[in-house]
Amino acid sequence: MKLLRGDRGVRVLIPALVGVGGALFNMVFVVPLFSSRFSIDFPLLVILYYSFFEDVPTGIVPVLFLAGMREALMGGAEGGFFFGSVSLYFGVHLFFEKFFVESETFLFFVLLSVFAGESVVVSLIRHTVYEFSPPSFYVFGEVVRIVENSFIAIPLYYSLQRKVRRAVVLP
Amino acid sequence: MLKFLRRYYRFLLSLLFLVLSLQFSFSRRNLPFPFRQMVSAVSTVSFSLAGGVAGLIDSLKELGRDYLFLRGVVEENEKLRKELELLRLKVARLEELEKENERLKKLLAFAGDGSDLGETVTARVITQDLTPWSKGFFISAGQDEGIERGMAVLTPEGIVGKVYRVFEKASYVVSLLDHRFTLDVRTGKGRVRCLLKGTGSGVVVKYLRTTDDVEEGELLVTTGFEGRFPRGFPAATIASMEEIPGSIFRKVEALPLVDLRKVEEVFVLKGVRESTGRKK
Repeated sequence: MKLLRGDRGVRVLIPALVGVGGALFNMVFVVPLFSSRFSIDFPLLVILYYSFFEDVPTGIVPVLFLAGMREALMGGAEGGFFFGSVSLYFGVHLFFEKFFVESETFLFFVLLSVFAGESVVVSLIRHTVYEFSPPSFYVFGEVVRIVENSFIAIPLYYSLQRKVRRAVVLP
Repeated sequence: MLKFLRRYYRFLLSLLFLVLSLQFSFSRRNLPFPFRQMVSAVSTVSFSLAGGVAGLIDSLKELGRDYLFLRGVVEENEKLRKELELLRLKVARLEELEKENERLKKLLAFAGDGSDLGETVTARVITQDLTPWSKGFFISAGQDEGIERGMAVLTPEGIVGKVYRVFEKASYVVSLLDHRFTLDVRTGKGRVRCLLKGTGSGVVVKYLRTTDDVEEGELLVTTGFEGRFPRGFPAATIASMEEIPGSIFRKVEALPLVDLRKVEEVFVLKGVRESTGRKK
């Protein structure tokens, strides 16, 4: 096995393109045709992918771009999603490094916790600042969204790893 | 010290960004340099790409529609539709002005201060919010068009929302249904002042007392006290009212006049013009 020159760039670029493409797909097709409940948070999934599978110096550049994309497309308070996403990148990396167990179930539950944690924090902030009290269908919708995001992450991550490996490694 | 930092830098960075995230979420501050410029650049790229893809799809659709079937008719229809929207906007304003005129005549104190719509910017709805947490949408006008935070977003049928965040070429609008939306309004007949507030799934009217002369189906119009919204512009109608035991206020639900799922184009009001020509 011999690595191609510039393989680091490819390793960084492919997931980032998936994140950007996924966000655009949501903007153009999913949200206008269906509902935001069915939109997969591709930028966050890719940020978490970098956190799980990439070293910090390599991953931070696309992470900043994708965090900026989340910030721009999610209509929250200024800075909230941007700094939150970067914080997740460092925090999850740390957690994954300490307690890494190579199994889909473990990955699924880590993702489930991250998405659920973010949803709870956002809802609590909005409840505190804007007296937002989530109705029951909102809670149900959130559960559906969190589970579908965590489910889709597993095949996405493995397919990304395969694609990256195919792109950077010569047989 | 250096050893400690090297060992725990990820944890420290994670903590630092988490604190920053929470602080910005609560304080509503502007992002500092260079993050603001970075987010602005990313938003420009994202909206341009999304606009490009959507434009390409629209072009392909139009190509088939225009050249194969109704080439001239579609163009004319589009032009007439825009004219009709503008006329409806004027009629809505005239109707409200007429009511205001009658009321002032009755009081025998005509002041002649009827406000009017000021300069408007027409914008296209790019996409809805990508998260289920908010009921907002993005429009195709931003800093470049002179859009500012808090500006009123309208259609000829009524109020749609207000500008919440402004990017270079796009803006984020919180709709009437969003929990961040509040608007000073008064009832159409009784002229009772109250507050219209989004809940995330609907709209409620706050501070309407049990003694206030209000009926179901009554129109709610803007007071104009906020400065960004025109006076007397229709916003919603009262859908249902309920007495709360032990409270002086009623539980009132309202219905927006605009079907927010169908909005494609909006007007952003850059300033409210008074009869003196002064801009607020």
